[in-house]
Amino acid sequence: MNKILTWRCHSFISLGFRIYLSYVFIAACIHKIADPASFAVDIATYDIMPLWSINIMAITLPWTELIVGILLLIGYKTRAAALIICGMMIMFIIALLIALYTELNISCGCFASQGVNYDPISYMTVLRDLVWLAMGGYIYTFGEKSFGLDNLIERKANK
Amino acid sequence: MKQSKEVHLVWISQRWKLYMKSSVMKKVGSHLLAAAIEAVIITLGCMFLALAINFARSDALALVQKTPYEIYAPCPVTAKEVEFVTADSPIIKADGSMIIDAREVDDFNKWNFPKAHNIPYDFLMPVSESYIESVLNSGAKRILIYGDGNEPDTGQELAKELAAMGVINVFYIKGGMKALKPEASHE
Repeated sequence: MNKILTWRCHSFISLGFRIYLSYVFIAACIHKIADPASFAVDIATYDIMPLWSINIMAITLPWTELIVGILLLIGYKTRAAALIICGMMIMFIIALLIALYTELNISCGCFASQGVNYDPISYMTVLRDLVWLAMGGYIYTFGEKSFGLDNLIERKANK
Repeated sequence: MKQSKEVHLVWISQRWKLYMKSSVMKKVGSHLLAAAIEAVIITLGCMFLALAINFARSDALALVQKTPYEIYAPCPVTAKEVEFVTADSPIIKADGSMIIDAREVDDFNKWNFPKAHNIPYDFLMPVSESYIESVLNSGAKRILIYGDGNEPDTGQELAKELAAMGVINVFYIKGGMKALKPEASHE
């Protein structure tokens, strides 16, 4: 088991996952930051959140995505960023599953406020989020040793 | 009985301790508390930043929505853009092309393009499913549709409706019957 955990390739794989997830989260937040009102409507269509919380979520979630994306990219506070990503992914998966269970014919709203005809939710969306959740878990477990600010700071401290 | 229950509980607690001491859990759990605290701090920082920027924006979103959002039920797509071919295009007479006449039955009977099938298009009624099935079961490689050539052209509208239903390789003949008629072999 220790051999698997100390495998040298983990740092390279987690670096790849970090770059990929940071791209995903930065790309996902751009339209939400530019047009929070549309994103609020996207959240409202899920019909899960109480009305008072929709706007607060529409305002704060995109910025969290942006900051976490940047943290992953530069490799600073990697574990905390990965934990936040896992938390967000779990939240999105629950929302998607509820929407699919109640047979809501809605757009995902993940990357743009498109209509349902262009970006509909499906079990493939859930599967995609599960893959991203697994990537987040992998980064949490092995990401600290990969190339990034955390690694540089640790090396300096050890010197 | 009570003794065996206790033995089971001891065995489970021992296993749990061993599992928690295993290298995987050590790796995951050793930094969990510190990472969780950092995650909470980062999240709160992001929320504070987001709220501050929102207040500074000219198009700031109200923190609490007072009236419910109007969510419109999405309408199904009934038309999809399609490409056209001209009346002199060689693909009209090529193998694998299915020609459809979108005009009324009477007009079709008066004149039709050789080997054309008639699917009358109605601006108010959707295309009958039996017609769609006949198109899908035809084995044609491409569907070329002509209409009356008016504005709007029934051929173009039928092509858009078929494309929206998922039929691929659908084209309309620009100009419709008016453009095709001089090319027709019989009247």
